[in-house]
Formats: sequence, structure tokens, C-alpha cells
Amino acid sequence: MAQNPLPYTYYSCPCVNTSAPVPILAANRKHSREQPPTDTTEFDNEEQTFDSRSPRANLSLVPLEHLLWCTECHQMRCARCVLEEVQCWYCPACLFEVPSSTVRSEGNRCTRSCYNCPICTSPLTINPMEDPRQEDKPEHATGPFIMMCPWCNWSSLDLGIKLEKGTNVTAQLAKIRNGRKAGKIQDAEVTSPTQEQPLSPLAIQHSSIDDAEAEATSPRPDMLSTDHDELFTRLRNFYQQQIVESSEASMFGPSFSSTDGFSSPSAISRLLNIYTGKKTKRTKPVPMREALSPSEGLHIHSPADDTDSLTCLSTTPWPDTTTTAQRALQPGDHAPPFTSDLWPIATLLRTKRSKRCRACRTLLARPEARMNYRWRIRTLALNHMPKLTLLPLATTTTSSGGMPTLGPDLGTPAHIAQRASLSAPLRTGQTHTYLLTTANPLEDVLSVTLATPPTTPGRVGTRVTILCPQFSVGKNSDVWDEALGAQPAAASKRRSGMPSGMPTVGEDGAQARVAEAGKVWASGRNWTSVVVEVVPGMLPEDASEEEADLEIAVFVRIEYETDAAGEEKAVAATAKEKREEAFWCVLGVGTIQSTFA
Amino acid sequence: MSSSRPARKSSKGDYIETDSGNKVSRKALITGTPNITLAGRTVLMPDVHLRGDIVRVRPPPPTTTTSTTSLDPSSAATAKPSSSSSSQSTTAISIGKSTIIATSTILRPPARLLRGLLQPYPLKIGEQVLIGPGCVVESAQIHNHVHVGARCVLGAFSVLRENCRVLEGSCVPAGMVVPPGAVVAGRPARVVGEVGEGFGVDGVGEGWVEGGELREVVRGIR
Ligand SMILES: [Zn+2]
Ligand SMILES: [Zn+2]
Ligand SMILES: [Zn+2]
Ligand SMILES: [Zn+2]
Repeated sequence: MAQNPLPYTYYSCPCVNTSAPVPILAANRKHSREQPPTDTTEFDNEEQTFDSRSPRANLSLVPLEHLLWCTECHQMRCARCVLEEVQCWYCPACLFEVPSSTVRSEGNRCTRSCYNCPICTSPLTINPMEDPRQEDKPEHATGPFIMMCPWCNWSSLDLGIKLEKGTNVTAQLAKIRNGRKAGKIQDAEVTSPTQEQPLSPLAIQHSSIDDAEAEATSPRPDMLSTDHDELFTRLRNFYQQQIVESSEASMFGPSFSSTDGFSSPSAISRLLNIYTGKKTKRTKPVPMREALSPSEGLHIHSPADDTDSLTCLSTTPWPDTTTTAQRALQPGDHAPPFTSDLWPIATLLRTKRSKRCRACRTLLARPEARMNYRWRIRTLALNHMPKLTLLPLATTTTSSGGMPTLGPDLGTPAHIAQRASLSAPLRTGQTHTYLLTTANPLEDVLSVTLATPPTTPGRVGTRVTILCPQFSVGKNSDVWDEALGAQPAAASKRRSGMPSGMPTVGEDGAQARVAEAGKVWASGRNWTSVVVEVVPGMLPEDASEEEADLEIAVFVRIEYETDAAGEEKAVAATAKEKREEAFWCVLGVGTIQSTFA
Repeated sequence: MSSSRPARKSSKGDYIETDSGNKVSRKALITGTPNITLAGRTVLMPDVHLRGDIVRVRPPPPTTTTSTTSLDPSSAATAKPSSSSSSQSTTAISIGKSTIIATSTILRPPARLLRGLLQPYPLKIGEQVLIGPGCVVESAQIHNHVHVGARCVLGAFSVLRENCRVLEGSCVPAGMVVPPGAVVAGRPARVVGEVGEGFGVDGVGEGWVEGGELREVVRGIR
């Protein structure tokens, strides 16, 4: 987590307790679990505290903006405990929506003209080969066109590809590719002996492997090895044949084969056998054999290929060989060792998805159908849960009396200094003071109780003290309400908390104020800040980077009374309902500097 | 900037504030002022460089009519090519409401070779966009509520759709379209994720959240 920009707050989704979040398949859950039992009961015991470093915790720590809220379950829902439904597929490059039927038949890539560079993944541009600088109209620029990478200057000319038109590239590319393949296949077909030997599996085994080996080592290196599709069709035909044969063989076998229906002769004879009660001797089902000849799709790896590519590799400069990532992006099993053979990658489609609560199927988020970023339904956790932020006391500027927040980085000297102080290392044994601000999105007053283990778990043992763990946070009343008369409430709150007039922290006034235990540092309309003292522990000499990053786990419990009327209009508006929620969250503080460094 | 601006000089301060609430740093470098439009409450911070001078040279009278810009690849995703035949006003850069261009960022309209000439196209930035410090922007269009981190390069004719997020130090390659709500990072930039459903939503009504309203931040700049 070292790379996260400070400060950060992660909320622990309650689904951390369950390996398969909320009931999906209870049976599955039992089998898929390999964790020791202590791990499961981690939170069953109220005394247990949360360790943000435990491998399990890591699964459920989510920033607040990524959490949804289920209004039925009254719980946050993270990516693990929602069900996603694909609403539409679209191409991120041309932003065209692709019907799901097309996705099913054509695959999840753009079939228009969107391609990515095989070297660097940038989107390719399609340009006429020569700039039509003559006076004729440029929009009718006649080909040939080439695909070019604006980033690394790869072009389709590297593959010897020129396109006739600037549109419908996919069809053109497929044609070129098939054309090239066809040449190879023809070569192969002419020479390959199509052997269809109706021999028994055992008899054929040795001889035909020898044949295949002989064939593979014969001087036709490009035959089946390069042609994935051809190999696949042959294999498929072979296995289909096998399935038919084996199901025929097992006509008196114990079960119906999936391929023959109830009307097939085998099924009828089997049924007859059952009703007549005759026990025929069960024929042992013939086991399916594997492909034995190239015509059946067998492809023997020839050592000659390896030596060829090895000699080639030894003469090819390093930059001309493909990386694992580049090979992985290539379509099919086309994984060339040299960059000169890389094929442009059709752009992967993306999806817009709606999300449902896994426990109760309530719709939590549903995007608009059109190609934009709008939501028809969206229930966000940040509208239902307090927002916690931890900032160094010295860098927070609350001069205007507003909530202590960190603004955007705009690059002014003040911002640069602020960012520097945020990432300043924490010194072992020194007391660092932070301001933990709890902001309330609800329209009810919250009473908040915070708890944290006095020392962080693990070897470092940083001491953490929340000076005022119990406080209330004002309601998120309408700004207009406040302006029109709710002012006294806010003012009185401010008075009770502290001397009126917000202190300008971080300037000369900072030293004057001393944080007192049990007292709120500052509060406003719907937020309250309390001081947290942190004394970083000693880093062991062999401390890992992760151990040096200080995170504080805080248990947050909120209680509030809300109008029951908000839920059901029938109930009298005066009826109040008491609610209580609790969750763990993890606050990123900074990096402890090793005292040895 | 738009012609209706009688630069009301607020004697002191680092920013010149216009009637429509635009805040332009005295240290910002702006060339080709007539070709730049700021929608209001737009902030140009110190050392920002706006290249309004990069604008299409008007062809001589005979070739008046359209047919200029249909090779524009961004036309599918963006608006129509704006520099039509109305020859009075040419726009090089337009910036929407409450958009902040942070310190030392350069905005340069993209250009491409056309009939042997380097032809510039307008650079359009939407509302509530924050472009971090030290960026170089040559995009064709940046839609609303986009957040661009510090020290990014947005390549020529790139299009950033609404609510997308460009992480610090990324280089968006020329011509790339960043889909709505995507998070891109790296050099060259790729889509590395999606913003959370709550991106830009300020639940507690205080301060600033990434991708959210920038009005308060704009107000705070002085
Ligand atoms: Zn969850
Ligand atoms: Zn596409
Ligand atoms: Zn490339
Ligand atoms: Zn639910």
C-alpha cells in the first residue's frame, strides 16, 4: 500500500468475515475454504482487533467512493458483495455500443477499425500512406492506408500490410491474414499424407507417433505449427468423432450420453433392457483416445523448431524480441518470439454494468444506457456513512473555519510544501499529532465512538492515542436551512467545543493551543475533528517496506435517531428510530523512517 | 479572452478577476488572446501558457466553403469541427466554467499536416475540469469533470471523456480516446481501472473531492 497517495482512508466491508461474501453457494463455500479456522472467527470475537495487514483484510479495504450502500440491508457493499450485470458493451476507442449478440458471435473486441499497437498498446491511427498535398480533396484520400502508432512509430508496414480503405480495417486485416494462411495451408495439404487408418488405438499408437514425428521433422516447419485455427478444427472434428464412437460403444452403459436423445437406438434398447429386467453383460466403455495423426489434429513439437528459433534469437538484438506482455496480448496462440511478427491487437471492448446487493438483490447502481457517465440509480455509501480523514495537524489550514481538508495539488509553493509535509517520514519515538475529522452526510446528529488498539499490531508497535474518542457530529442540514435560522445550534456547538473563532492551525497560533484529552479540537456544521497522537515504534533492522508504512485501524461506531417516516410514510413523522452502525476503517498515516538509515 | 472583458484590475493580488469571475494570474502567459474564450469562473494559475496564437491561417477568399476538416479523426467522438467558414472568429482554445488550469501547464492546440501545411485545430476544455500542475495539453477535447493529475502529457487530438481520471505523470498518446469514467495511467497511458461510483460526489458538502464541483476551490484562489 506504499504507493497510495497520502492521506488515505479505507473502509472495511463487512464481507471480510465471509470468504464467499453473503450467501451465494453455501456448499461451495465449505469446499473452497482453505484458511485455518482461526481466520474465520477473526471478528466473531468482539475483543479481536483489525489487522490491516492480514491477507484477508486486504480483500475488503475499499475507499469510500467505491462503496455502494444497500438501503435494505443497511450495509455498505463493496465489489465483492455486489452482483454485476452487464448492461452494454462498448468500444473504448470509437465509443460504439456493441449488441451483446454480436459480442457472443464475434467476441469481445471491436470489429470496426480500432486497433492497438502490438508493441506499446497505444491506439493506432490509420493514415493514407502519402499525404495528399496535391489540391485534390483530402477527404477522398485514396489508399493505400497504413496503421501507425503515434507513440512508438510502429506501423503496419513492419508486417508488410497496406490497406485499400481507411475504414472497416478488421475485414481487410482478416482477409490479408487468411490470404497468408491459405498459402501455407495449400503447401501443407499438397504434401501431407491424409491418413485415415481404422486401426485399434493400441495398434496405431506407436506407429503413428513415429509417422507424426517424421512428418514434423520433415522440412515443412510452417505447416501445422503456425496454423492455430486449422489445428483447432481438426482437433474438434476428431473429438466429436470420438464422442460419437464412445457413446455408441456404451449403448448398454450406465447412463445416457449427452449427445444421443431418448429416441436414439441405444437409448431405446437400454430402456427395453431395464423393463425386461434382463441383465446383459455390460460392455466396458471404450475409453476415448487422443489424436494420433496430424489429420486428427496432432501436433508434435519438433526440436528442430527450437534450434531454429534459438539460432535466430542468438543473432537478433534484444529489443527485437517480444516481451511476455506483448505475447500475451496477441490473439489466439500466436505468440511470436520476434517483434517483427507481432500483429495489431483489436481493441478490447469494455462494459457498463449495473450492480445488485448479493444478499437481497436490491439494485444499487444502474448506469444510463447512453454513452456517458450518468446513473439512473446509484446509492452510495458516502451518503450514508461518515467520512473520516486524517491529516497532520501542522498542515491543516482551517483559517476560514471550514472543515480541515486537503485541496487539490495546484502546484503553488504552498501546495508543494503541503505535499512535502504529508510525505515527510515519521520518526521513531517522536510524538506526531494528527487531526481526525469525521464528517456526517446524514440529516441526523451522530454520536460517534472511535476505538483503536493502543499499539499497532505487528513488530513495530506504534502507539496511537485518540484524545477524544467520543463525540457528536452535527447533522448535514441543508445549507439554506442553516442560513435561514439553524445558526444558533451550530454556534452553540462551536462554543461548547472550543473557543469561538477557528484557530489558524499551522501558523503561529498552533503552538498556543494544546490538545486536551476528552476535548474536541474543532467542529463545524456537520463535522468534528479530534486529535490523534501517534508515536511510531522502533523499526526492526530487517523491516519490510510494508512494515514501515504506518496504518491505523480505527473501529467506528455511530448511533443516531432518524425519522421512521423517512422509510414509511404511514408511520407518524414524530416516531424516531434508533440506529446503530459499526465498521472498521484503516487510515494511512505515513512512512516510518528507520533509525538506522 | 472574450472581447467583453474590461480587465477590472483588483489593484492588489496575484490574479486579475474579470466580470464573469475568471481569475487569470498576472504571471500567466497568454498569446493570441482574441482566440481564447473563458466561460467564467475559470482559473489560469501562474506560469500557465495558453497558445492562442496557434490558429488556422484563414485561406484566401476563393476557397470559402466547407470541405476543410472532415479528416478529423476526433470528429466521431467530439463535436463537429468548429472552424467553419465563419471567418470572423477563430477559436484556438476554449475553457468551460469553474475549470482550473494549475501552475506551469501549457495548453497548445493540436495540429496536423494537411495538404503540406500544418493545420491547427481548436482545443476545447469543458466545465469543472482540473488540470494539474506541469502538464502539456494538446487534446482535441476534454469533457466535463475530468481530473488530470500533475505532470501529465495529453497527446495531440486525444479526447478525455467525462468523469475520467488521468493519474499523475501519465502520457496519453496522441489520438487516444479515454472513455467516460475510466482511470488511465502510464506511459503510454492505458485504461487501468474505473472510477468509483462515488467519483466526484461530495456527500458531506464540505471541501473538494476529485472530479467534483470546483466552485469552492476557485473561490479560494486569490
Ligand atoms: Zn463487501
Ligand atoms: Zn472501436
Ligand atoms: Zn506503439
Ligand atoms: Zn441488500
